[in-house]
Amino acid sequence: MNRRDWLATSIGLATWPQILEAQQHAKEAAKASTAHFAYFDAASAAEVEALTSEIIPTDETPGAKEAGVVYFIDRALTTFDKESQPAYKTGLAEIAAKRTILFPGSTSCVALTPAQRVELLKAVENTRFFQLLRGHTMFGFLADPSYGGNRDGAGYKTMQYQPAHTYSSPFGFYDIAGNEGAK
Amino acid sequence: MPAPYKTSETVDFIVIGSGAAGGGMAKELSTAGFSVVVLEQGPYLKEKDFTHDEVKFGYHGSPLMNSFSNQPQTFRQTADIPAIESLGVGYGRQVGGGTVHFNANYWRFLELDFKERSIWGEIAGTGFADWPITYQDLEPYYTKAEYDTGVSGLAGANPFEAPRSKPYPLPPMPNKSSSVLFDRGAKKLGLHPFPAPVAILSKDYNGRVGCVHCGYCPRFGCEVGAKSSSLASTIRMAERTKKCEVRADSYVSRIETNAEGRVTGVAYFDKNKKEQFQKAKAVAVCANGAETPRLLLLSHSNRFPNGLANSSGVVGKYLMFDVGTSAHGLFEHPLNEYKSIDVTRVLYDYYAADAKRGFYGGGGIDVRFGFNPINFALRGMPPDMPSWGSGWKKSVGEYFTHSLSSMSHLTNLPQETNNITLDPKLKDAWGLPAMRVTFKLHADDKSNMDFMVARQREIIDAAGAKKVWDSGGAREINGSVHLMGTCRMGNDPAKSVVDKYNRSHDVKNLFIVDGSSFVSSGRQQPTLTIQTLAYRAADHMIQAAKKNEI
Repeated sequence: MNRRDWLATSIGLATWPQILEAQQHAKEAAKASTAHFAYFDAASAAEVEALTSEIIPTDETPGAKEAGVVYFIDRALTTFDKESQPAYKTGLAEIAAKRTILFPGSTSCVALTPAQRVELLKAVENTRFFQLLRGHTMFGFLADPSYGGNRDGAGYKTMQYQPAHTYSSPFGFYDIAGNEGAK
Repeated sequence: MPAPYKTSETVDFIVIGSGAAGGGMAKELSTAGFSVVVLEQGPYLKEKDFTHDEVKFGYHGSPLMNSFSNQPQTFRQTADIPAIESLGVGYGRQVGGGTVHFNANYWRFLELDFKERSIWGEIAGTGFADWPITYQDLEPYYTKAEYDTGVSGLAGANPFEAPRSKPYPLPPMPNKSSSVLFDRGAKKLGLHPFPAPVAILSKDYNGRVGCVHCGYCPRFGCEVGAKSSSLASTIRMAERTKKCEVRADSYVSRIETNAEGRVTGVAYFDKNKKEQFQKAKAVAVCANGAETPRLLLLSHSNRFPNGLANSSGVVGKYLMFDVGTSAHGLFEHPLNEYKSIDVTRVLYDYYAADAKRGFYGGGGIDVRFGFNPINFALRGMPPDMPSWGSGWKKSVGEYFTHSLSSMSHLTNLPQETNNITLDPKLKDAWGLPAMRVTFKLHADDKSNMDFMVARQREIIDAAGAKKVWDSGGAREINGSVHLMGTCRMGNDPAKSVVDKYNRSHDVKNLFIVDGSSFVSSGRQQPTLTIQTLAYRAADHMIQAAKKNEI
């Protein structure tokens, strides 16, 4: 990303007070003994979790599910990204419609096999809703854990990112003395 | 803190805007003993407000940028098509302006930048022109700006640089892997890379602490104050004089003039959207290359029917953007470019235009990273790689830690048809006409993009990358954060807005200094030149004020 196109990326036109509010919500939610959803009903939450778990699947390392991405999205939709609520309503309905075409008789994304879910997502990959869902999944995977996702720094592990926030030289392999000419 | 000035009190100077120009202007005027009120439309944030929260600061809606929900804009490529609501023009909107969230590239212009029309010749259909000043006129002020601000770099390392009276005040930043690799690739091709000059402290300086290499320069404010924003440098110097009040959350709506055609003060909305009026003997507009012309157009009156300082009709015209291209490379071993500063090396081998290329244009090429974890996850992977799913997850970490980017910073020809005007219908949250942006690249700008992205790929390839890709060559751009040219400087009042000391040709006690003053685009990285113009203008304002000639 460069300075010219960062303006083009959005998770909605959040304002600062709304974001602070979102963090506060997330912190309160984290304190509660049983996590609850403020926006999604249980069935929608399960659908969103099933879909985001294919966007960032669980393999040897945690994926969107373990990172709690669906909780991040739920907070976003009730705080700083309220304007995306209608997109989720229609987007989930569109995906359900596509699902019944691809897999007649299926009852939910949760009930599909992982391979079927990937096939379904590939079929909607160019829709605006998929791009929104992908964006939210990445944010939920990597945003500061105070937003409710990225639990135990799951996203940082995938990125091989060390969240130390202060570093000193050498920073990488090639700036270690003697490695200047290395392949 | 100085006692705040009363609005009824006539202060010596109002400075509108607090970025590179406004901060420098406020520092110089207040140091000379004048009473100064800085009106900044955004809030007064401090280091404690700057975190590494990518959700809060990384995208539009960032508290460090203009708010598109409150300040909508429209965009069109040409005047014959309808303008649609768009997010084209971005700028810093808090005390410190764009210098708070910028990458801190602090390049001087070269001698040729000020006289390129004479060197190259006319370019049909453009307003390509020489500046009324030379590099030598600015040199002492460049030096002063570098020392006040705190710039790290290595004088003499760039064989193309213009003569300097002093070295950089601070040594260059430590190498990163990108520095080593860019040096390797560029030197193999016979090019001349040098340590990027950056407004970031490589060590403690003037009571400020050195960089902690957090990796959050672009888009973020510096939590330790090592990034040499005007907030961390000139604004604080101005406040220490006790002659300067920085009045944040003050959104200027109009510059008022009297029957004699002189500025009497400035109307603005305070934090509660209540209208206020600050009286002043003179006004310096440093509101950026888009908001400055908009404000002048908003300040029309019977005496100035086409907008203030606009007898030439040139206010808002010759808008120039930050044109550039990106290329990327993946390497065998970890680079960890997410650590420390963004831009580490630059080269000027393609800076001068060359007729052999078949078009006008030139540029600087840098090496950088430009990503934090979320934006890399969203858009850092090359186009041939998966953007989600198992394949994405297995490879994204390697690409995040083993890759680098290069950006080119290119000329953008001034065209009269590229401009800032007032939208006839759309209003902002204060009820003022919104900004309308009209912008289309010149054919030579596009040829230059194709040329330069190929050069960037060559360098990354020569550095030993195992994979090279780019983000495209020529394409139209519909937005910018470097805003230039819209109140151009010149000797002829019929063809320019300000004289060579940034004084309005039309209004004696009105000064206009920011990117809008630029006659040509340079090779982007305008910030140091913006600050330097403010220093030079302030010097002449001080002399004139002392002689009662404002």
